[in-house]
Amino acid sequence: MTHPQIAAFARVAKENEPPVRTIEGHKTLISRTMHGFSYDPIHDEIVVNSPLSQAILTFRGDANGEQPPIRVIQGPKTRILGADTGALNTVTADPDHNEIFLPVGTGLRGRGTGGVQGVYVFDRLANGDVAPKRVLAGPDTLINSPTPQVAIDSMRNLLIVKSGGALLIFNREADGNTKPVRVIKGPKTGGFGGGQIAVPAGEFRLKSSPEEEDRTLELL
Amino acid sequence: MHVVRTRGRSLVLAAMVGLVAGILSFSLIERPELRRPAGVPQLVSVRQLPTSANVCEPGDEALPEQHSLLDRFGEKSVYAGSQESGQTGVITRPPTRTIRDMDPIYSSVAVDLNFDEVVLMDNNNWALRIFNRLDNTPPGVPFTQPKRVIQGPETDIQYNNGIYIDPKNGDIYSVETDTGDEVVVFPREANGNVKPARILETPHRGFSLAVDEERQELYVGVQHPPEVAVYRKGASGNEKPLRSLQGESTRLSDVHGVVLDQKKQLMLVTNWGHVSDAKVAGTGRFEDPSITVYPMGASGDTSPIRVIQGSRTQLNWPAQMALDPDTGDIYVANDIGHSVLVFKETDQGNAAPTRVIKGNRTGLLNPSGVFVDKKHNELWVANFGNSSAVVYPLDANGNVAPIRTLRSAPEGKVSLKFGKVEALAYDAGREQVWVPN
Repeated sequence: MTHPQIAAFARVAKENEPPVRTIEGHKTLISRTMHGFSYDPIHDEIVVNSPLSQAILTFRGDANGEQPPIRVIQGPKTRILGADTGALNTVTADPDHNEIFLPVGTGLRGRGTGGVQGVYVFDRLANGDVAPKRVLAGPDTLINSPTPQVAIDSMRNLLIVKSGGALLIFNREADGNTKPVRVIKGPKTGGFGGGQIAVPAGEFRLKSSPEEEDRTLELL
Repeated sequence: MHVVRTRGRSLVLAAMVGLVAGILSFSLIERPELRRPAGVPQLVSVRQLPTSANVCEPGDEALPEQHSLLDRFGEKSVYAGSQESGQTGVITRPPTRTIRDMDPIYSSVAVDLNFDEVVLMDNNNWALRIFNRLDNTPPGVPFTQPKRVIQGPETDIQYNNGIYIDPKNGDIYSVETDTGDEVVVFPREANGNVKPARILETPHRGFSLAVDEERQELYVGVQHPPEVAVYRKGASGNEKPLRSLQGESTRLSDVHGVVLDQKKQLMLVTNWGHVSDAKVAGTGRFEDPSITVYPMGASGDTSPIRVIQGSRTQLNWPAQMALDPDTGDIYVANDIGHSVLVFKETDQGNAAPTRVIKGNRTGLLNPSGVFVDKKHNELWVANFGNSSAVVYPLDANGNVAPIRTLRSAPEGKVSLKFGKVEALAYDAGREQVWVPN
């Protein structure tokens, strides 16, 4: 990656219309490999990973230029690994419950030490060297892939983990070595490759057509 | 009087009908079970958005051509799969809008002094563009056409950042940073979608190149885990490095540039300051950007003999470097500073640069590559921010205009600087799409 940046484009931007603002530069503490990204509309905050320094950064929603993050989660108590060794590819905010979810995998280039394979949950306001408030990990979780991804369904109180070609559905507050409540997996699913996953806001439904009245737009 | 009374009654009746219709409409919105198919997308829920003093109200100019994507979808359905029916929704329509920069974005530059050609590394379109050294794009001309372009799937060029041109035979070396993890070597006259003459597998995130022509050794700077791997210059395939500099004592961090001083047998490296032991949890920290200096043969976990670091240095995401072997001047492409910083090779600690090329006349925008042309006493700079390369006298200083500008996009064009985009988020309050690299 030549030049890390977080660029904000107008909704109707097209072609090579430049961004309305960018977050970039040393003071921002951002680095390459920001493969997961969350905007928290309730608190107007941006949550992003800084994998080369094993940190989670939170910016104000109106951040611009070389503006430092308002909070940094980093240090030995966090048990955060870098991107190569299984973590910090992505990070997901749950603004409704004031939490930040960090999935941890087996790593693309060897397993690191000091972390576990699963999902770390930090308080939204965590700052500095703080331990996760919950860790979902263990063989019963079935979380087992190099770079798992997570999404939160606040309305149904669910945590969705994409791992090993499956969607693992947990109670949002699942902790420890907990089995998923449902697993979506198999040849008909398409395999769940790719990157970031998301669940649309629970209160919002886009009806499709008269014939498909009971179907909703689901983004996976 | 009767007419007036009747008209008054009609107005009251119309108002009541309107009120009832309004209440009924809102009641249907909040009670979806009463809603009937209407043949068009329907509003299901209206909720108060979170308020924040920092959220701007969109002005008239923010109104798009269409009110929503649903308008644009027209009669096409937008449903996803249904578990009950076993159907899978497949969306095949083209995107309504695409944000994409099609112009070259230059990450690095090198000059072939034997054949008077300059090679610009196009990181956006995964290409090498070769121009005449004296090409200049006058104002008003949209771009200069390259003589040759090495580009296409056969070339294996991808996320290319570091370049080296063999001073004897003109071979072009290109390091592929992200998905490539290799160095590809092309003969000087290569053109089009051609296979490299040689491919050397390198560690993930190789970023910069330098060559020791005396010892015939190829140096590859690796971003993270930070490393300088040294290979035989003619190495190919999965040949292992002769030696590697890496470890906590090296103070390497997010390596972006490597330059060699053959006279003094020194190696200099630019670092961004993102530090961690990638294999051990919780070891991350941030440091100021730096230039670290080592003996050329350094290997293992060797400490630098000098470090340039601190607020006076102005270093801010320092990228590629170039050396004037006669003066010992080190030229640093200083990305976020929109500047070229010149240090003495003997500088140490919190040293201010001896010269700074910066300002609105320079044409610099996110410079990432530099090349010192001693034959013509010129300094080349590749701008990642505006699809151009600019040329200065080697002793340039301050807010100076370039003596030549090679543009591959119209004047004033600002590059989008996209990298490997893997995530998105939407800020509904500001109507903005967030795109991290």
